[in-house]
Amino acid sequence: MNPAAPNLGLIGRIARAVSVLLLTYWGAFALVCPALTIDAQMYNLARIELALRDGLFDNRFFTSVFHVLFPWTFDAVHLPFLLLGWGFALPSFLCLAGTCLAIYPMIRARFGFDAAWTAVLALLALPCLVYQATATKNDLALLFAGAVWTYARWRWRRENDDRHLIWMVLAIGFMFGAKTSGIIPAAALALWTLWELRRRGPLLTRTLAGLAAVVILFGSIETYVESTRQFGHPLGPPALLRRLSNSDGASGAAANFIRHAARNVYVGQTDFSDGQRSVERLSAATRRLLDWLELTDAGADPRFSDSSLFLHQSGLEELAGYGPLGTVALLIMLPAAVWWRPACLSWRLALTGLLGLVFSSLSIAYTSWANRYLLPWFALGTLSAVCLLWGSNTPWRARLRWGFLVLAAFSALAAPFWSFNRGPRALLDAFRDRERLETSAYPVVGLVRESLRRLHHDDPAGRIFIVTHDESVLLPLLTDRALAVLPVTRAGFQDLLDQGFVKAGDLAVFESPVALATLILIETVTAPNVFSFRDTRSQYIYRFTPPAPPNPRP
Amino acid sequence: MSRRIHDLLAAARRPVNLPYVLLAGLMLVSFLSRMVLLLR
Repeated sequence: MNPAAPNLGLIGRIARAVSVLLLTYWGAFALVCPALTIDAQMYNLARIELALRDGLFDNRFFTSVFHVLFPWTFDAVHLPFLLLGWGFALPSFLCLAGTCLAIYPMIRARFGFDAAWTAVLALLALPCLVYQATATKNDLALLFAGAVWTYARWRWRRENDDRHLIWMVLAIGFMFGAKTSGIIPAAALALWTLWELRRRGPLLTRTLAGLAAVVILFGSIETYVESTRQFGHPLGPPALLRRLSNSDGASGAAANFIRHAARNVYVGQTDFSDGQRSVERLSAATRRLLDWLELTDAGADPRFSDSSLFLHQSGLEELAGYGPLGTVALLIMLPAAVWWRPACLSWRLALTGLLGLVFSSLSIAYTSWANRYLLPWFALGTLSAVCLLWGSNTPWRARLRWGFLVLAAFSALAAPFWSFNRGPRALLDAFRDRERLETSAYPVVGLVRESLRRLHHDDPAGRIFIVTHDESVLLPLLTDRALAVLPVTRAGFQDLLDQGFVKAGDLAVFESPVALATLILIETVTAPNVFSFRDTRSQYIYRFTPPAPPNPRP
Repeated sequence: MSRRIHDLLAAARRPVNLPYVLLAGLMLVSFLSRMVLLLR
């Protein structure tokens, strides 16, 4: 421990008070909030609800490739909460709490209490991270697994107790099964673990066997098997994989790195007002830089175009950034490439974060919602800043610690208010207006649900078909079990029509990409409801009418 | 009494197993849930 700062000082006390307050707030929010994230409503949790009906293999209700292809070790954790109807985000919050519990003792042992509490506060000051802690996505699970592996390794070396190896191996298994993008980091940690055991033959063999066992038990092997059966590839349809991956090699990686770096230069919250010149200028400068380097559209998802590049730092979970501390993390990580200090812990953390950022840029196609993929790297960059500030006691470092604390406290306290559906008002809405909060990220599905309830009330015998595409938002419709909606693909619905399975009085909800084409095929359909929401998808509801009686003969 | 408080404080400063407990809990719930879903 740093002898100059062994006890809790004023910085530590302030950081502790703010951290405890915010952990309480986010914990309460995770306990009461519904599943808010669009991705969860499309597939992360929607597929758990569908698997409850018909299992995993050959599930008749899986209507999106995303229901099948992603590993589901973390998604499956949500099953009890789906059945309860509460606490959807608790697993994510536990990942945040577990990450804090893992890093706190490590930093406290090396740099003292002030640094440890400031590190916890710094993590809570990253908006993207805390929004993920109240979402049901699996990105935070990767950070948590990495933190537990690091913690177990630290204790293994410190206590010379091989039992901690078990936890290192389990953390690798959890990371492997939580998300596709966790496979390579998990493999890297597995190799690292084995490398450390290279001179301990019997233990090496047992650890290798343990790694194989955890990958089989917790690595979500079954989703890879089903994906291979359905698409001929364990990771999904090859065309989709090309779309989701950077397919432009080094130039794509360079373009993505520039976008990620520019995205995390904090110039204020994005509220889409007319006065947001700073965000517009930053976005325009980034577009010009990409154009000058002849990297326009390189490495990006084909649906994304640099002509519309806009560097959001909004309060929407999928478009959130890392706030002012994200910029600090970036400023710490970037010099690590040229400022070689292998003996310095801060440098090692910064370089790992930077390499992670390069890895993500190289492997994943850029989209506007890609910031959450960078979660572990910005967490490492932020922790690196704390280690740098507490690395030694100099007057300028003491002043900078106060500056860092103020920035961290401000960002952490502001994060709930920056979000449009995670602030104190949303906490109240979780009780008094729960359904509106549930569909706050995609309100059109709330309107569809209300309309379906009304129509279903008029004719309870009519069945409800949801004719979907890959990105249909299903969960709010599925969890209203009184509606008993039947998801079906466009081709599947055509088969049902051909077989005469669709009867008079049945309802069908069509997502707009299929609605017009199907409307031409079905002539006995009326369209009582049409919804639209800005320029996004719209959903149409049709009630099937009985065939017209034959004309009486004159 | 003061010794007891001292022991408690010392215990609070030792590394804790809570991160392990959380990981084990999440992995157990995940495994059981996956089995339930696979057997549907």
